[in-house]
Amino acid sequence: MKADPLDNFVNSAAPPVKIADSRVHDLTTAVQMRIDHLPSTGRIAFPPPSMPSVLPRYALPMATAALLGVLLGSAVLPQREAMAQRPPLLSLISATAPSQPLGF
Amino acid sequence: MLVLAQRVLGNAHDADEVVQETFLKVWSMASRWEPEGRAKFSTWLYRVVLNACLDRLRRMPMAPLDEVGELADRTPSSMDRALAQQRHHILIQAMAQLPPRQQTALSLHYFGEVSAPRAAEILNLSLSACEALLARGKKTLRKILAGMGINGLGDVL
Repeated sequence: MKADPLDNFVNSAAPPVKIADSRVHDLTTAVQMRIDHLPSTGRIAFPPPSMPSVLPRYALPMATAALLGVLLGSAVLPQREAMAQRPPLLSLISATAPSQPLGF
Repeated sequence: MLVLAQRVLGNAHDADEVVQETFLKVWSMASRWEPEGRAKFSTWLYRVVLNACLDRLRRMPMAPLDEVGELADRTPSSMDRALAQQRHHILIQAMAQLPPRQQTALSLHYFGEVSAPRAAEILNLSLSACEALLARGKKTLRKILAGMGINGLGDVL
């Protein structure tokens, strides 16, 4: 099989290398030490998720919650309005006043 | 990564520095890697190393080819060393002109000493697509080298 002249040129220009295990170990140690000594601001914090990526994930729960809010709110609203129109103490006084004098 | 860096840069000291810098960069920029994207982490890592090597090479001074013949020390070993350095620089200059995907594929193939199936895996390609990409890369590299006047080993020996 005829050798490719390009392969020959590349292998001649950048010959294969053998990396010793000790060199890999030294390099790993050096990297670990440099990471240990990085200032706390050296590591970029994970950015908050962007709105377009958040919206699809939360769109359905948010819509469901809004719908539930409207339904439950409309069911509860008349009772609350009635309570607001007549505070409990006033209701009690007005209900008891004609038949039972307060004793003065 | 160390093999890739040393073969691209041509010396152990610079290769060690580039790989160290790459690890630190990966540590500090991990959040920018998008796993949902097309590139696998290993592909991204190879490209970070390769780009760091090419950046460093661009900053290195390169002696013109004709100065090799005017070396004060004309012993065979020094001539060989100077010519080997020139061959290396020519190759890297040519590789730097390749389109990015062809550059990555050829770098993995030649410098990363990665098998074709592994290169295909790193590049997220089928084996046949990876081989086609390599073939296209070699064709482009031959054209670039021919444009630089290099058609074989004899042109820089």
